Amino acid sequence: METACLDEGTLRSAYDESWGDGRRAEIVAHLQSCAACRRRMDEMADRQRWVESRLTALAPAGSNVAPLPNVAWSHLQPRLGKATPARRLPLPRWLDRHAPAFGLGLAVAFLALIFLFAPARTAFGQFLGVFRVHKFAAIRIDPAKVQRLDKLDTSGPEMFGTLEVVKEPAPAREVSLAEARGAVPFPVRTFGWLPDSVQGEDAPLTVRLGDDGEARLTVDAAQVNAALALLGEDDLHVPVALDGATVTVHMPRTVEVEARGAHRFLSLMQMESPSVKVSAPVDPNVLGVVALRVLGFSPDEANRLAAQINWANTLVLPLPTDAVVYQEVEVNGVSGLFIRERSEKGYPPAMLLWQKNDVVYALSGQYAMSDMLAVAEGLH
Amino acid sequence: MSITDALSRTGLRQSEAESFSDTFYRHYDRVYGVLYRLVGNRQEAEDLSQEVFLRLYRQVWQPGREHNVAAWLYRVATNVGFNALRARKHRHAWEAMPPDESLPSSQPEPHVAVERNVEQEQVRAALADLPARQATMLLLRYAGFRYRELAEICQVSPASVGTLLARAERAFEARYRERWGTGEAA
Repeated sequence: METACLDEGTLRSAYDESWGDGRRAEIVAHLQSCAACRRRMDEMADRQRWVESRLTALAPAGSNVAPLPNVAWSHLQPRLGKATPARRLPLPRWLDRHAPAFGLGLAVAFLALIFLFAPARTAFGQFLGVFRVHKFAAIRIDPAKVQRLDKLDTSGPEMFGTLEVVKEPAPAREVSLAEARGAVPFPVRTFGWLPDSVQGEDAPLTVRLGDDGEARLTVDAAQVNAALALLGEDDLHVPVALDGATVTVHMPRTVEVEARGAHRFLSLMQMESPSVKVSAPVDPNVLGVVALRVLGFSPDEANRLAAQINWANTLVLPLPTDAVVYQEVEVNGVSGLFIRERSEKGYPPAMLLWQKNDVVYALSGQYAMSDMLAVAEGLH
Repeated sequence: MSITDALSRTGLRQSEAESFSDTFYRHYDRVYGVLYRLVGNRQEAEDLSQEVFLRLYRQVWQPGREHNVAAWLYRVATNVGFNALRARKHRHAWEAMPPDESLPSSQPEPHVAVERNVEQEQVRAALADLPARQATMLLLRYAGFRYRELAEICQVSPASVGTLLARAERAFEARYRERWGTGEAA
């Protein structure tokens, strides 16, 4: 039976003998019978050898090979003593598995922030306005649809232009609660009630102060439109007015208060809302639809959903449906979002997000929603 | 076979059995290799390798937590390396790149070493011009990484690696020839 010609990726993988899904016999048979594919394979092989001869020349040789690891370790070890090991929030385990989706999610959140600037705010010169998070909203994204983003050469905010870190935050450092309270302009809250499985109220808590940081995205409309075309969304275009516009995101200092038990912990991250400045007028709805279409929503779904979101003050979090479950909840009298990893084993990592009095809170731990809400209610 | 070795065969996952030093010993050679390919200087590659492991310790490392440390390491190593490369580019060093002082003195002909250095800098310049994912794919593939590892590091599905690699090779060749002509050996 005659089979369709092989696509470029299949040919390239076959050249490296990386056969996917037991297709070896089928691919070999096709190559034997199809002169056109054999010719394409030969061209690809020529290019591969040309590239290989250049890239392999970069390998360290002679006296430039890696030093013995024990020598390198002896240099690193003293520096580790001065560094504080990471204490990550539990959620990134699903982020690791869904990084492309979430990377894009961040980009969408980033782009969503662009939506918020009404031309009426232009009175203050260069920037059209400053967005601050007032509310969180989750949208379900289909991981299978997001997989098509693999076609892109970049994902995350860089899909939209050039990203520059204006100020890289220094690593977080352990401080006293008093020092943390003196370092940020909002009242730092701590635990008033904790589940038995973490340290009690009288036990010492760990407090970390995170540095502020700033990043700037210079939008490249041609790049965004090329990426949209590659995704098959040929009818979508970002507004010309956005080309060359800068989007500057400032992440303020953070304070993390952590209570740790033998097996579980609770962490409360608190910060002023990140601020975003944009240097060009844009239509929020147009960009909202673009962002949702990139995430795999159909034109109808994207239009309907974009119309339901209050882009003026809402940070949109795209969540992969196979990885997490979420629920809108009331926390301390305001609307919040509870997100939990989809898992039947043990205590799945969970996060509770809310904003009150211009301070954003993220409570992380491996607890049920009722416990997390009780901890949040008990903060003082 | 040690427990760590057995676990490492299951993929790139850090296991509960693995300490930070285990991770360091297991990955140091490869991290250094990636960085050397990008900066072409032993001392700088050593310094940047230390920086990458320090970042791992400060930002990610959590004993007893399963996490794709290797993918993180090589992703950060390539970012750090390309940043160093681009910083050098901004200093207009391509045109006046000095020979690597650490080249072995046993090189038969000094001018051969200099020519090789220039060629390598041309390859690095063409790589640095590519989009990040393409550059990372090429660099790591020709440093011996397998398709499954590339997929995890570049955060794409394994089925996409062939396509991305083919596209990256085409883009690299085009960029190289555009910058440096035919690219045939002098």
